[in-house]
Amino acid sequence: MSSSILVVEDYPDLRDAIAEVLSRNDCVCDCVDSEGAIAKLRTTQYTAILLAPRLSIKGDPVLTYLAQNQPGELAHVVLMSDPLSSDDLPDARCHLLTKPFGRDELLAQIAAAQ
Amino acid sequence: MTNDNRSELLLIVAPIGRDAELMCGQLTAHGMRGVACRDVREMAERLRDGAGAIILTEEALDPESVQVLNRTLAMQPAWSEIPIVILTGTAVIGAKPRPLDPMMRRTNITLIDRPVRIQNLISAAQSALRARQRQYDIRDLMGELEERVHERDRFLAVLGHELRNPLGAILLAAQMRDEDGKLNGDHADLIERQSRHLTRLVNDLLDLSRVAAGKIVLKQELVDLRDVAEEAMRVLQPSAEQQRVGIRLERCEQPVVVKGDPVRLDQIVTNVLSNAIKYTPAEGHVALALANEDGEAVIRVTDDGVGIAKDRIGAIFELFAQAENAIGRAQGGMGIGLALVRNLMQLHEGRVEAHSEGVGKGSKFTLRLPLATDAEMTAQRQKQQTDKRAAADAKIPPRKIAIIEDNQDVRDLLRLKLARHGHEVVTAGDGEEGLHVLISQKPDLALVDLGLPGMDGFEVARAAREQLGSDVVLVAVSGFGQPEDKRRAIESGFDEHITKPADVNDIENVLRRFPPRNSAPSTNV
Repeated sequence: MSSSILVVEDYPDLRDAIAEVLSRNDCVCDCVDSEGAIAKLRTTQYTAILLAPRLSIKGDPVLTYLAQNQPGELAHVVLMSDPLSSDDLPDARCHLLTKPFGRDELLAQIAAAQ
Repeated sequence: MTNDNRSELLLIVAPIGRDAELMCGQLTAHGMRGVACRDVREMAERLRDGAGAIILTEEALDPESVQVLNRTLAMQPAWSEIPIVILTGTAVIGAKPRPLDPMMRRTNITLIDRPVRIQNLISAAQSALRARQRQYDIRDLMGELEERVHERDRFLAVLGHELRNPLGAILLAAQMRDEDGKLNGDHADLIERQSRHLTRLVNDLLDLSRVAAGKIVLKQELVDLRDVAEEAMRVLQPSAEQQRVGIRLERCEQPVVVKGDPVRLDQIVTNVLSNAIKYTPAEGHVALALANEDGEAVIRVTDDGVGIAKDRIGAIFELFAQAENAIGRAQGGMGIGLALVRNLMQLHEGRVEAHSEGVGKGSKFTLRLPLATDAEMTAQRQKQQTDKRAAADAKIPPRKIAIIEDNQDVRDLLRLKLARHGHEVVTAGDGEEGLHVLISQKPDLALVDLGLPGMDGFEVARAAREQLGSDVVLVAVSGFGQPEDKRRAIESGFDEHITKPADVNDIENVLRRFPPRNSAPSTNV
């Protein structure tokens, strides 16, 4: 079954590489930078959201939007980030994918988040 | 009262008669400041706010007060040992020990017998204040060092963050091999682009450290900034296209010639332009303009990107200040590039300024350098043209090259690159094997990694020189590019030193400098 993934990453080469790995593994991707993420979430339901949080991780606008409007979606969020302790996760339901990551870790976390 | 003032304050405890009042008067008369305290307890309270020294009379030290004093002294921070001057009672031979005797063994106490001569009291007080000032100086120094350690820690955290995105892109691209195990052109391009980005980052970091240590020596010549600007545009065009940012060079008809190091000037312009592209969103615009204005060469880089908050403008060229806000910013931007730009501009007796109307309103960076004189400009331009023609004419004949490098990936990559340029390549993975290859294969030129396990590159060079004399050109390849490292390599018998990661251009430049030996080049390519 194909999955629909929203990839939110501002670093273009990384975003493109992620998109290609996912599309090679039967996922349908929407790729946006952080500016365009909330507009996509308002109109589209995704099976997982792969998110590089901006600025302070607790103040990320996409996470704030989800917490206020679609809290159930937080369980489908994979945060791409520096290493974090579980205490630093903005929401315990989010999954963590530590940068830099390889194809297998990426696919494993996407599978866990769906 | 400020901290500085407190370091000059004397706390006086002299409960009997007018001793405290008289002492305060004498201290004031000698340019010092004393405050009378009712008892040791009040003195201890005031000490919490800071003081230069304590003057006590012995009768103020009943057993309870000694306990209070001991507790107060025990609570001092590590840098502090407040000087105490005690005016003693008359000592009687054979009398039982004073309550302050145990304290004297571990505290900075000066005893003055009574009756007190004023000049002894003043001298003791002045000496105590000087000692105390040193303690405050040490406290301030410790505070500065502590802040620097924190800054360094924050910087390292940001550096780690900065490396993750390019490394992540490289890792994923490298894992996208086709069924036959090969990477397609797009993935190879991505890996090359990101590797070059990381190389620039590392080079900038090393250069910053070298500037700070005063180790960058400019190789000054006359440079037309129009060439520098065109080169920066050429280098950065791909990344601008990838980010869908339009970049434009506003050409200047007149030469814009300055005296400077062409490599460093290129670094300056590339860093400012790259910074503008980085902070301009897709469909935005960046312009690079040159001008001669009032005896100065002016470079302006203008963008309609994210802009700079008013309160950040002053800190934009500060390395650590930028790092402070960089965590979580996907485009990175710990300010290494701009910090280096400022330092390199200062080395060129130039200056750089940033201007922005605020967040979301774009930025303008203006760089100003002294213009070269007309006479210097003409002579140098002629020389450059002659040199350029000579370099273009120099073709590299096929050579036999040895690569002695323990990292297999680096070794294989170099081998492939050199073989593609028609050279015969032999390789070795450690020093012993490398020496054997040099002696048995007798290559024209050997690229030797200095950090080999076991027998290192320096030993290989020394042994090779002993056995082969000058028959082989030895080139040290290492991650250490400081002048000291190069000097050590040359002393060990190397002819040249190049810094990792070695680029084909670097190697070709070395090959150009060393013409082939008289023997005919090998045809076994």
